Formats: sequence, structure tokens, C-alpha cells
Amino acid sequence: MQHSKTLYEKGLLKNLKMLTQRQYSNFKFVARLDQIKTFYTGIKALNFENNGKFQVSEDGLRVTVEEGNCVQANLYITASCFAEFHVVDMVTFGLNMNIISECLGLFAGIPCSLKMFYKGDGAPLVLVLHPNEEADISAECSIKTTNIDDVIDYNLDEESRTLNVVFVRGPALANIFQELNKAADELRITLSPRQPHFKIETLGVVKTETFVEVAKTSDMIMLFNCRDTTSACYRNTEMRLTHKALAAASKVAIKTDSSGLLEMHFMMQSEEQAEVYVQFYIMPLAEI
Amino acid sequence: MKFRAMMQDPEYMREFLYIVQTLSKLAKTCVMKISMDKVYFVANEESGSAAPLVWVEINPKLYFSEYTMQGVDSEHDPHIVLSVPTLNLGTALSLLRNNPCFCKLKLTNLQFPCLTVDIDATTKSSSDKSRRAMHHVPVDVIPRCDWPNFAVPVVPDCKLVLNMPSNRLIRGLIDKIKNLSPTIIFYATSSGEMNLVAETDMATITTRYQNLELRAINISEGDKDKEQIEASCSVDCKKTALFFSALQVPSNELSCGIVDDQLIHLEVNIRDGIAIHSKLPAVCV
Repeated sequence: MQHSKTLYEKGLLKNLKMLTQRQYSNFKFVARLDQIKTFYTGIKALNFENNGKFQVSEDGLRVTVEEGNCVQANLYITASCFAEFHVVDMVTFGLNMNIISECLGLFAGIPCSLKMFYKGDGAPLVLVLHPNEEADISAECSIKTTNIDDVIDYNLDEESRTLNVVFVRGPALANIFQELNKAADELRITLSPRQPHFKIETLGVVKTETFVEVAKTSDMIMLFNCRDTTSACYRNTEMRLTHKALAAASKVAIKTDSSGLLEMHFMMQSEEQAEVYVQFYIMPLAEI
Repeated sequence: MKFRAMMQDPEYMREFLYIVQTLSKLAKTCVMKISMDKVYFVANEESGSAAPLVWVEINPKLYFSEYTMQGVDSEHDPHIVLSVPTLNLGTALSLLRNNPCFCKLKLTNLQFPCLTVDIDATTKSSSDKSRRAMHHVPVDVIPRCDWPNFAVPVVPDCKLVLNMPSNRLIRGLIDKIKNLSPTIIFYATSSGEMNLVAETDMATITTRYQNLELRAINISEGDKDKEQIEASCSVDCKKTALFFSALQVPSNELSCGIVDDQLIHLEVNIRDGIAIHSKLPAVCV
């Protein structure tokens, strides 16, 4: 924050708390990304609720956003994705998702590199952005952080007899969701080893129904592993929260079991082998 | 009163269309002030709106291939002042996009005063039959006694003027910052550095541009001994964003002048003899 510090001395910045002045080595969390794009897409996919929870460990970065107790979205970026990654123990802090999303988009559409610094409790998260091709331009953002409560852990039982797993090509699934009735209240997803293998139905207010069936032999199915029939209803508004992630995903994994809890993994397109994915847990509606 | 102008260069014509479109994004009507050596368009939406004050300066001798005007009978400085609906003029000019042969602008008096746009839409490349479009855009002639109310803004004497980098970068930047902070501070130094600073309870954002070209500097008595001259001004972020998002011209050269705590003057030079200006007043933080 060398540069913001001078501005503070000139009296242009007033909030000293938002400036970090200690040496590099004292930071609890430092990370550098050469390309901001995938990270930015991931953050945008989670920007449906303001409270973002950041958890950093040696494995990587996890960002969690929850809506009520019904939807949880996680962005995972493994440590290997970062050009530089340094963390002391386990670091957690809360951030306003809208603000970090706007800050990451400051140089919209231009390839940028990013550095993140975090000093510890009560300190801001500092982002330094450098457009790759413009050496004379840079931006420093410091964003207020908050303490966070624990994150609910959702889990599907991997051993369950009814665990169904399907891998689908992202763009194809995005097309299907585009065609479904957007005004519908509820959406039913059925997975079955028998026909119809994969079925999405919408139920509208005036009993209008649309459905799409995908056979397991379809080109869009990359893996089909169903043991038993599962079927559950979800609120369409909650399903629609996944759309930004879906639009950016190259591959989607759909997992569910007899409890109806829906887990979706969205693999983000990334040039390298790096692992960036967004995960959603969506609670089913109670069957009446 | 007489006014005729003609354009023939396709690039100039397209630029002219872009300029009128820029104005139409800023104000419903603009004031067109025609004199022998300058044509001005001034867009000044009534107070209360977020639109900034923008004016366009055209040197007709460089810009129009033919130009004649006869102003109201004042010998020293003949003028014509018109109030022009920007959207209508933009629609009338929309054919300029298709590389026509020429475009004539004329002040005519049908039942009421009109700015007549006469475009020969035969494209230079194709050999199809001549197609000519004529639009009459109703305008109001502003009487001489009201002229003092429609004076063209003066380019202020800025303490520091720096040439800024491409519009694309700065437009996106201010567009994002406006969602986070109501005001933005422009801070420039004589060593060619420009900082855009936004501060709220939730976040502090500073953007720095280095190695900018210093275009002008006015050193006051008190600053003479200083190593580095500085200027800063805080302006409304929405207003600034609106100026950049309204710009329809592919601009290469943008300059930003600052008068300490008073105003910011933005100038887009499209080419010799044609420039878009805007003045943004300071706001208190």
C-alpha cells in the first residue's frame, strides 16, 4: 500500500484503518494471481448475497455465500492456481461480495494480475491490480473485513445406496435451463437408471408444465452413474442463482440422493490445469 | 440570417453523427451557436439531472468543405443561436453511417425555422441509383436579447492539465467506482501522475496512472519554490460516469485539467479543429 500511504499523507485519504503499513512478511495471507479472469468469474457467480465468507488454508481459498438456510455456494481455488500463495495457519474473514466484485472489475475486460494481502483480524483485505499490458496503471483497493460465524457443512453420504452422480457438458445444460419456463415456481429433477434417465420439469402457477428429458446415451452426458431413482422439487428462484456459474462452466457435476439435497459442481473454464470450481448445495422443498 | 455547411469526407461525416449522438445522450435539446469562425453545441440539461455540462467546439473552416453564414446584423460578431432537439437531429443524420457522398446542413424557414439535413445516400462504392434523403428538423431561433443566457462556457485556466490514457480503461473504471462511492477525487502532480481516489466506510480504492504527458501548468506565486505542483478536486462520480458513457466517439486523446477544489475540465480532442469539453464542478466530501 505504498501508494495509498502517500495519498493519506497528502490528506486525500482519511481512513487510516484501511491502510496496511507493515512489512510483507507479517501478512497472514498473501496470494498472487497472474490472471484474474477465472477468479473474477467465480466471484461474480457468487454475488447474489452480500456476505461472503473467506476461508484460507494451505490447500487454497474457499469463498462461501449462503442464502437463508436453503442455498450454499462455495468457490474453491486450490493453492496451485496461485502464482504465489502464503498463509499462516487458517485465516477466515468476511467481505461484502458486491464490493470485491466491483473492485475486481475495475479494469473491465482487460487481462490483469492480482495480489491479495491480509494482515489479520480487523485489518482490511488489500487488492492490488495491474493490467498486464499497461505498466503505468495500477489500482489498490482495501476492503473492510468482518468476523464470520461458522459455515454450515453440507454433505452427501458417499456410501449411500441412493447416491446418483451425473456429469454434464456445461454449455448444453445452460441451453436446457434457458428453454425452461423462467416464471415457474418449482422445478423437479429426476435421476433414474431407467428411462427417463435425467429429467427436469417445471411446475408453474397455473399448472403449466414443461419438461426436458435427457437419455444417458446423449452426447451431453459425460458420466452417468445412477443406482436408484431419485426425484425432488426445488424452488426455481434458488435454482436460478446457479445460472451465472453455469454460464461459465465447461463441465457440471450433479449429485443427489434419496434425501433430495442437490449438489452441483461447476468447473470453470481455465486455460491451465488449475482447479477452480463453484459448488452449490440446494435444499429440496418438502414433499406434501 | 443564413447558414449553410457541407461535409464530404465520410470520416468527418461519421464523426459528426457520433457527436450529435453523444449530445443526445446528455440532453434533450442543445444550443447551437454559429459564428464565422466557430460552431458550438452546448448541452446543459436543467439543474437537478445528473448530466454534466458538455460543449462541442468545431472549427468550420477545417471541418466543413463549404461554409457560409450570415448572422444577425451585428457587425463585429455576427451570430446565430438555435435551440436544437438532439434526438431528432441524430435521427436525421443517421444515414451518415453508410458513407454517403455528401451531407448539407441548412437553416431554412418552412412554416417555422428548421435545420434542413440533406444527404445524398448513394454510396460511393455501389453504382445504384441516386437516393437522397432530406430531413427538416424544427429548431427554435433564440432572439438576441436572450443570448447572454446562452453564452458558451469558457475553458478554465487549470492549474494542471494532463493527457490521460485511452477512454476505454477510464470509462470502465469510473463506471465501477460509481457503484461504490458517490464522489471521486482527481489528484494530479506535475511529474505526470494522476490518481483517482474513492473512499467509503466499506472500501478505499485508489487508481494510479503514471508517466502521463503534462500539457499545461499554471504556477501560482506560492507554489514557485515547490519541487512538485499538485492539484486535486473531488467531483460527483455519477456525473463523471455519465460523461464517459455518453461519449460515442472513438477518442484517442483525453486531457484532464484540474483547478484546486473548484472544477475538473475534461477535453476530448477528436482531430484538429474539433473537440468535446466538459466541466465538472467540485463537490464537498
